[in-house]
Amino acid sequence: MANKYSLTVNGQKHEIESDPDTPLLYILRNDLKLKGTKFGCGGGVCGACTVIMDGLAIFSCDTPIWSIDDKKIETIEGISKDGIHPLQELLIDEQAGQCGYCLSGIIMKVKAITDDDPTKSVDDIANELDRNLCRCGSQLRILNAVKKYLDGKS
Amino acid sequence: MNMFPGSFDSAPNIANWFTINKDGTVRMVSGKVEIGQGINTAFVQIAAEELDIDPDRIEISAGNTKDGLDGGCTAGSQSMQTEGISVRKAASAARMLMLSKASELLQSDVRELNVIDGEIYLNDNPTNLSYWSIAKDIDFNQPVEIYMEPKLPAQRKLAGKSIKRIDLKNKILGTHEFVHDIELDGMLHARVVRPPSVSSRIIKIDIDKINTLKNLKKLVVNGSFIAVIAEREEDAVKLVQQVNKYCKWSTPNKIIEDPLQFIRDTKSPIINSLDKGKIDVLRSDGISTEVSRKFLCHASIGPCCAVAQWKGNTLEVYTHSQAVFAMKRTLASIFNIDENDVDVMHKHGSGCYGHNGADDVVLDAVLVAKELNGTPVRLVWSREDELSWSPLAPGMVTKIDANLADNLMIESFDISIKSPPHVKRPSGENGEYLLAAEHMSNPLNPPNPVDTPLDKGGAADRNSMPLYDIPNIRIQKQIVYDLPWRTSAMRGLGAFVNVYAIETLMDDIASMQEIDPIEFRLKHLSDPRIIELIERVRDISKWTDRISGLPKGFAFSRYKNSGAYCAMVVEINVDEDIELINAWAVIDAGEVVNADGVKNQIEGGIIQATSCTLIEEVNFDGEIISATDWENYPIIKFKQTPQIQVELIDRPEEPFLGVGEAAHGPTAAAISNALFTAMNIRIKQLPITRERIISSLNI
Repeated sequence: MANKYSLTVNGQKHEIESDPDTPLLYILRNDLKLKGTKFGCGGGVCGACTVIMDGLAIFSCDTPIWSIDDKKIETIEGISKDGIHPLQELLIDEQAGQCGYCLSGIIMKVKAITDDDPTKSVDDIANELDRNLCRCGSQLRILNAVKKYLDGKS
Repeated sequence: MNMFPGSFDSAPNIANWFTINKDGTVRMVSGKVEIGQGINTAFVQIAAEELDIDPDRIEISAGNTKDGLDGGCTAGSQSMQTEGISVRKAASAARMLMLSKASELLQSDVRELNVIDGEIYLNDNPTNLSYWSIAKDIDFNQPVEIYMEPKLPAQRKLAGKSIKRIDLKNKILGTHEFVHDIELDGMLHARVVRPPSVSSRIIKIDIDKINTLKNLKKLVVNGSFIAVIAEREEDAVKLVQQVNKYCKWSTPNKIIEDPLQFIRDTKSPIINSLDKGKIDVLRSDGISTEVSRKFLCHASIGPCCAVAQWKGNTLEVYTHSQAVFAMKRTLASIFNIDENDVDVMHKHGSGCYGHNGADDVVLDAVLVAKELNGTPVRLVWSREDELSWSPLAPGMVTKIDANLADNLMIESFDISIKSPPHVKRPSGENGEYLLAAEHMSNPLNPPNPVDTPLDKGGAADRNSMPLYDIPNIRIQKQIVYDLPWRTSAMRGLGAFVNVYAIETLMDDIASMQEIDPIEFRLKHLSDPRIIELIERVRDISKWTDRISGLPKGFAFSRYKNSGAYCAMVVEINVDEDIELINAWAVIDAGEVVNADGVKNQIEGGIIQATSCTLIEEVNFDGEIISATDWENYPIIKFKQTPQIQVELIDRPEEPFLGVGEAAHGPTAAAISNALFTAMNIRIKQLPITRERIISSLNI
């Protein structure tokens, strides 16, 4: 049964009519047309769908819409709307990516971790990226960019 | 050898490749597609070099059957070696044609002209001419062959420079449109309802019950191909399980307990790949190895996806296939329509490491769209589809018997390779090897594919020919066609296991003779290019402390014996698990176009190959593939990332050599050799897991 939900995405408020168990991912991609957030596994294991909810990184593929009513969501489109986010600049400098499909989720996860605690080390972050997978093997370049990002913050 | 490789046969004219626009931009077409490897960037760089323009002026279109070039399949690390050369020739011809026109207008000799970012100069003085002003008066429908005049190495300015990937910025910003992100007017969503295993077929389906399911727009039943269509994507996802409750499938009748043993015991005919010199039976002082690898998944992060739309009898498809023209021919053949009525457009997908389900999902989507009278449909595979219904990389067994001469040099290698097929790509006829083609009500039964002969690069036997000076070599292969699982090309094909076999055996022989493994190899090498490569990696890795410090291992190969050369040293830590700490790779890829692009491919190759070497294996429960999600098909994680140093030996006078698959075999063998250094044990079955190490220690 369709219910009404209210959520704020990248600072913009939306009223959504949806079944309560619809994963946030499909609302973002298909209703709000924010396609930077990707489907990867549907089970919260690969991290491609990561977005930030009230400061916390969540897997949008297994987060039902009922659980985020009135919450603030930040997606990849939101972090660069006033220009490129410094972490994105560094990823471009390092050419950190091959196919690029996993990157949006990884960027959101790293942003959530470092916004919360800028003193984290790159090893801490590598550990916390346990549920963000990259198949092309861009991990080294991504971590090099993250390290520079952390150096810039401290 | 074809002088004009890649797309050239079908695109002999300059106009086939380049359009020079008056607004200062250039449209370029290529026949190879971007699959995460950065090929479009390299092509733009080659073209900008020859045209003397800023790369930013070039917009590249690749993999579009409407107005694109047929460069064949983007595979086998061939794009630079074939299409790259064609791009260079075509761009140089475009430049020369425009300069001939300018020389007419300026009444000067073409040799007095030069170009700076499209502006034409006469004896280094500006003129009022530019590409952008004169192009409209030039007929570019002229043969590349007449005008081509590629720059000499010393004249190149952009060569070897690391310009940034043209597509990566938008991928990092989240604004790049992948095939998954395409949205057409009125588009519906579909998912496939899968049987429990590969040979299961539908016995009974309760369509009346299914038609009562909420949010089901339409059920598609075509033999054992069953799919659901919904207006909302999440409903299509949900409906898959609901529909499957009303489906009864047959159970497989063939149970294979141990697939690798089945491969080992094959009675398939022996194919002689190479017979050089004389092979004696293995003598008592000889040495033998038999290595094997289990089946692997492609395991892309984004599952396969296609968008399809029928407009009457014409068909349009968006896909991340490696071979859009082959798909076009294949679809025309399956649906018995004119090839001109099918268009296949490439869009970027998630990482592609070979022949995954990208082609299969196209037929899925097209079969579904066929039921929709013109409404477009997007079909995305589930994670389970992606891991267990994409073609797998085949399990494989390679055995080598080596005899030694009196001087302890290698006298002979007798190599035997047993493997299911590595190449089952649709090429245009009968929908061969597409998943849904096996499930449709009139299933297609294509013949067994022929394994590519070794002199064409090989498939199961790829890289089985050692580059060491060994006077007697025999290579035989047997292709195992009677396993139920679908297998096809994954990065390196047979090279991964064959390099593992050769390079671990080289260490085993060196150890038996108590010789340093690099020294032992150098005794068997005379090619100065290979010797320089190996000596360089020995130096940068500080090989001499390989036993006192963290254990090191070495390996070498030249991909396909015709692509890039790769010599590698790795350093591992052996604790509860094996961890790759450092890798040093020296690469000779001939002329380097984009140095960072080559390094990116090698780094990624090392990390992916480490995952394949230490972690990955598909297991089977009867016929059922165990790999259904990331929990039961884990891959490497961020915390396991090694440090990697890649050095390139740039040879501007030499041809381009493909690098995409160069690192895989050497990574696996070097890790195994490092473990041998550390613990004097040889793990012969990949992946090298903790359990296999413990069982080989007999503790």
